[in-house]
Amino acid sequence: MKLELCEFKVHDVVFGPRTRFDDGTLTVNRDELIAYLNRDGLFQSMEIEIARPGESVRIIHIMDAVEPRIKIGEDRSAFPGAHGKMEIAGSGRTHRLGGMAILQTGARQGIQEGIVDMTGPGADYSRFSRTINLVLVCTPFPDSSNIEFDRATRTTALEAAEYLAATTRNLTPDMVEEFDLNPGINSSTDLPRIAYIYHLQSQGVLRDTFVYGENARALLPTFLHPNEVLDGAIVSGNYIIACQKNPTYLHQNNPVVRELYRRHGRDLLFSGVIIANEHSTLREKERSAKFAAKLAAQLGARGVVMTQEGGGHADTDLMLCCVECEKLGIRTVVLINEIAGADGDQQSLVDNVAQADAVVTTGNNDEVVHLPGMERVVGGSEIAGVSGGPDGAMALALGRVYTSTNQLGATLMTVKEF
Amino acid sequence: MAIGANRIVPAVGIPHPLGSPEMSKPAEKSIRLKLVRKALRALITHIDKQTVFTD
Amino acid sequence: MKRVIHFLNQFFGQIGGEDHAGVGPQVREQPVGPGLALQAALGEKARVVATVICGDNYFAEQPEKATSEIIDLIRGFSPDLVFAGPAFNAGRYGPSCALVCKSVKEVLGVSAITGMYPENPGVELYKKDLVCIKTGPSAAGMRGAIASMTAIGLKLSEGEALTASETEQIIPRGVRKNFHSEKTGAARAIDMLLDKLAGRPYRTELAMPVFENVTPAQPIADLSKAKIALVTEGGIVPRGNPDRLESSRATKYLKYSIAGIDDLTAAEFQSVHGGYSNVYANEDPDRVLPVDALRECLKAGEIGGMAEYFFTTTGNGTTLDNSRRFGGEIARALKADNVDGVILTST
Repeated sequence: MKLELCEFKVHDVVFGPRTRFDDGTLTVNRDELIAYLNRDGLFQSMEIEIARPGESVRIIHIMDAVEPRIKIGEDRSAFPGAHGKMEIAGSGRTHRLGGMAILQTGARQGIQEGIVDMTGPGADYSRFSRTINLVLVCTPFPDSSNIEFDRATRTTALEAAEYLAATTRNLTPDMVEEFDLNPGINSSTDLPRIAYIYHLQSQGVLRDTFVYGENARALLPTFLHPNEVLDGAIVSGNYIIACQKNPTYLHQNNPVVRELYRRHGRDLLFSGVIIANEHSTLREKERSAKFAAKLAAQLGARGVVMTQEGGGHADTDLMLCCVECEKLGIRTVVLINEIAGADGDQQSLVDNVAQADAVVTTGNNDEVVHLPGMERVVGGSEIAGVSGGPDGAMALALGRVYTSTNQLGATLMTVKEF
Repeated sequence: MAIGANRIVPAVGIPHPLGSPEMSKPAEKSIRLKLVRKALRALITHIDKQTVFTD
Repeated sequence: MKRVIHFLNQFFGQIGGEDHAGVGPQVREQPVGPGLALQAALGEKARVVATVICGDNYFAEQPEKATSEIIDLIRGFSPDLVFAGPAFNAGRYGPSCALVCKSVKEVLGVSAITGMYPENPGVELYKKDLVCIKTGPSAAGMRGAIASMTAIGLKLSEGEALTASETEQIIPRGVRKNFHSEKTGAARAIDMLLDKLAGRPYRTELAMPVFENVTPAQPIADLSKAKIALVTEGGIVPRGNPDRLESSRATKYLKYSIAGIDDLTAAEFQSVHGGYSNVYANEDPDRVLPVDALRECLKAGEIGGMAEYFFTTTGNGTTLDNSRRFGGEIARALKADNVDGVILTST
């Protein structure tokens, strides 16, 4: 399976009369885009804003981030099954607009606040303080249900992604990256086989992750080619704790998959991706942990990198899976984040096992960050639990800053004990 | 076990520890009653370490 | 020249052994015992103006009184820096050194440093509030311990930053702080895995903690006479959430009446817990808080009584400190109301 990811580097996004991509600048006709996205009247109203790195802007109520992409070829979708026709992702050519993201925003009970500052100290924390962001502000009808709202917002963000990337359809990319596990690699080498156990969080409406368009709630762990991950097989619909939900953008650009690929054939052999859901019952958690470990053994993996999404009882999914792998002689490294309290002196995890002896931590959600005032706010007009306007200076837990302690290891964040 | 509770009765599931939404109302109620009785039984049982009451 | 006070127990203070462990705090206006090595290490930079000595048992039997007496003695010398011990693996001496250092810092605002073997109980009790050098288990390690206590102590009193190797000599205080590393988490994970597989040394970024155990309560003698209460962390509240219980990171717990209620209905109650899908709990809140089932047990005479209220909070990203406080307060309230047993439902 060979994937060509063709990057078009975006240096600026502006509103203008005609939607097009030219010499690094994406011009968007705002009214046309709104008319297209809301053509079925799914939302009472829709607004679109641009927020660039370095601008004094605070984006609030963030639900998901998506990288604009299109699949080259007739009837192919950048998000197969989730939007457009089902097809196996991961082969052929895909165009991506690099350096930008579409941020979907929305507010209702069940969606937890996600904040991104585009400048100042807050900008050190979010992955999306460094992308040029096209922000969708979708206001639902007052009587719309969670299911309707979820489907509409998710579909709209994916449509926007394809709509914008379509501007590059006949253009030459700045860079082409090839992803292929096979060429020139001697499979009889002594390099250790490494599998990636990729936990998804899918536990109900507004806290789901979609695999080829279906939520993963009942998923028995299954095996994916890494190219499928990089090519839109996984889409997020998970809107709980802001710092630790894995957005669609980071599924598309999964840093563990990319890093394993980078070292594939040199330091290790990347034997594939096992996706597993974080379940709501202990019975399902045990079933999933044992099955994921079994798949890793079947792949001949000597080592496994394991990631998490969310926390709390999801710690148990990871710990169980870690135990099962180690039991089979498969060595593990686990990526997690912590709830160590504002002062960093509390228990970091809800569950822990002695076998988890190689842990990478991606930050303490509870540490307090002080955000200065911003000139402009995009995405809403109030932040729950924050007195004063959303544009003001505020002190809040890092956990509310979008992707700040991302458990896919997308950032440099870690924790040190003193 | 990691949370340190001493008398633990495993329940149905996180979003509905004392219910099974896919069951009929009477069947669900009887499961709930069974779990509550199991918890009461745990309260009258002598233990000297963390104990999971499975049946 | 800086003024230094040195704190010692009766043994190192050369008063005597176990038979003198009851002596109260006293002062020698000169270095004593290990203080001679300390003074030599301090050289021209500082002078040990006094040694404060206290018997191990005197301290252990009345730590608060002893500490306050020792602080009063130390205060009189207006020191710039206080050294305590090192205490190595001495089980009474360690906590007293730790408590003296903690109080010197808190009460006098003066830097203080001690040294202990990492398994000394003083470490576990006070490490959060301590600068404590790692030492060996016995006084054989005196020379090295004094050297690193001196170097680091002088830096502390100057407010200077420690080098990486100096930081290594200190027992971690167990305080975790965010910082940016040089590589992404993904890259660090793969480095760590390759090291682990190759048998090379690696360092986990989060050591697995050991949770504290609670002694199990005695069983209820006669259930048919017992009063049972319901408590939940499942975020069950009256519909509309009148007291605004948080959906995560709760800062409070609440108490609601269930007097006259045989069955929780969706019309009257709901869940606001942000950590699980509330659909099922909102359809029938008994699925999280089994009021209907417990009522039935009461009617059948299986239990003697039922608290006519429940306590509720949200156990979702709630800090351990808050959880401890909620637990303590709820337990005291239940006890005061003569509740014999509790069913705590967890989501």
